[in-house]
Amino acid sequence: MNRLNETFVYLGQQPLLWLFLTVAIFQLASQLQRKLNTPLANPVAIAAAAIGVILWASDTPYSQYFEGAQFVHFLLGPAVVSLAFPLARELPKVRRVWLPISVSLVVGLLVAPLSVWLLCQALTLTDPVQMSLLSKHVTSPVAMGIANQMGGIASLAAGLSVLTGIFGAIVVSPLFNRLGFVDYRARGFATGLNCHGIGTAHAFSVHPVAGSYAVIGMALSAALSSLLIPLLFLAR
Amino acid sequence: MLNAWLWLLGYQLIGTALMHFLLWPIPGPVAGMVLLTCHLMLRQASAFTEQLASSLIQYLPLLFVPAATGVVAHLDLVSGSLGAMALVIALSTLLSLWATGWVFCRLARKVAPAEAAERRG
Repeated sequence: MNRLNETFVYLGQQPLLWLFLTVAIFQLASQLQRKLNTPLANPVAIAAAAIGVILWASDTPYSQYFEGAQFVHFLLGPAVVSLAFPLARELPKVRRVWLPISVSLVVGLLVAPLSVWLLCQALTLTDPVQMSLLSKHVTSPVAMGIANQMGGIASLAAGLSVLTGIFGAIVVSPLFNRLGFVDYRARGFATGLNCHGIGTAHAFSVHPVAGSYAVIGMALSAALSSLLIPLLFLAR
Repeated sequence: MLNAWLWLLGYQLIGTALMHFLLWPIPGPVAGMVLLTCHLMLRQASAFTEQLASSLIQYLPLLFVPAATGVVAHLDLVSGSLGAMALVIALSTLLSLWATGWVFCRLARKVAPAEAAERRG
């Protein structure tokens, strides 16, 4: 019995166990989604929640978990670079929609932070929290930079950005179906602009055109928000 | 296979170095993606690189799990105003998704209606 316990403790300190669990639990979550056939069962959300519970129950600090999970996390870099392929395939057609892209870009980049600001005023959230929420629609490394500049809390901003991505990936398909938006270009672009990487990953799982336009939305949102948010909210 | 990895990691490296050098706040991989897109518009990459890229994209959701777990694991730190923050995220995201999508749909219908392959159902 003692040996068994000791073996579990030993494994918990190894990267291997956490790497294996990350992939295995994600695989289970994907199968669950396929079975339930609803975007509400988002595999990223289910896997993160399940691993969170395991870490909490086994009293494992996140840093120890990340020792193993970092191998998966690192692939995010080359995966983002990979998005150039679908993007380059789609770009010749993108010229036709430069007008819808530029107008809805301005609308989205204004509505996202302004609605946050109004809601924060209504709910009387503290200033650092408010400033960390403004960049919630931007990919987390950029959101951290914006939060720093705005007097927010960088790590909180990164977390809120991830939560926004997860929330968006869960609600976007049912929302757009209900609204009757059938154009995958519009659906993808809005998703990438507002829900960055996690939303883009979801868009690719729905349709390649939606995925490509999500990449465009995500990239433009990251590039312009870091200029626009300080401009809108730092003057006051 | 090795060449394909060198391409993707190489563009990530160039993007990261360039953004650091220019002091721009754009993440290195995003800059690398933009540079590789420019390259691909001029000249094609090998089939191997494209294959590796499409399998990485296929597993994109998995790659977000460690970061998302980090947020879940640290939720207790912000439990005080978590409800209010969740409400802000939910309402603002729904509103902004709707506004962005609606404007795009409206204008696209006028200037460039979606082809059959670009529409749902």
